[in-house]
Amino acid sequence: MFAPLEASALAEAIRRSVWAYPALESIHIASFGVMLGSVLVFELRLFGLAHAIQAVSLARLALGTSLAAFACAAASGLLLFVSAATEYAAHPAFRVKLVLILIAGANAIVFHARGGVRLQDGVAKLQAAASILLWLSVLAAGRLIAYL
Amino acid sequence: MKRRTLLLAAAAAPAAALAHHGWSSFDQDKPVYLAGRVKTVRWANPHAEVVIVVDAALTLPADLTRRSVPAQSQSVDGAAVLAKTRLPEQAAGEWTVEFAPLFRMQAWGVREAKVGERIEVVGYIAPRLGDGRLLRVEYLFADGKAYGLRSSPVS
Repeated sequence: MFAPLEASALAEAIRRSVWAYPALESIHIASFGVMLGSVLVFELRLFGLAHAIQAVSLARLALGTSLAAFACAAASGLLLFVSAATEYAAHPAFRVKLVLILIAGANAIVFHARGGVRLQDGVAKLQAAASILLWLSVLAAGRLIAYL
Repeated sequence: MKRRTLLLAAAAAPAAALAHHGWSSFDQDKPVYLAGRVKTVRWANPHAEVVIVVDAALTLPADLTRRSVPAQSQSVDGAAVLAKTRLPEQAAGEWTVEFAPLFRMQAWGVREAKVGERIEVVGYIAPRLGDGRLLRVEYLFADGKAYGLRSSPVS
């Protein structure tokens, strides 16, 4: 399933280019940084910091930013994945990272489905704390791909 | 860990299986020498890599310590590295030989390896990583030249 992906002209072009791989990595890391930062800012507001800012307004800005950044991270990540698809697919840290992304995503969906931005109850705060921990774990798992 | 290439390797990180790992696994106190025919070539990012087949009768070349190393390492520890270089245990057979990211290879003027050619390398091995038959190149001897896989590009 992954071998044809890795053998594709696109994958070959990414591998063989001097610049494509480091450029994609830069985009990937920058996007994830923006995402993590905007998620963190929103969650700090949820924990009661900067009361003067309306949570709903902040959510519009911060969550919009984090969604756009996630899309960039996912797109660049997909291209990096394709360049060595069979190896990444088999990599334990990569697999853990994907599972963590799914859990973090599910957590975010449940948060918004519950109306967590308006509720700001204990569950919402717990979810916010879990969110930050999950995304930091995604980051750690991602870094570990290069070291395992 | 003192290598500036480390930064590059770190930046070049989300990487692939056995070929990718921290530099710290490699024993930099015990440089080893390998020579053999290139069996497969993966000249690609995140770093170039070849598999060589080392012959059973490999011996340390008599002139190794007299070989000139690239200018950028001459003043640092080039001669000392060559003086310490030994054959690894069970040198014969296949070894994965790992180079740098393509960006660095280009800066150092190292051309792509060809299947079937003979290359000589001095580098570091990581006995506890995978099957232990992985070498990170410090010097590459090819085309009658010595290439140093260190930070400064050869001029």
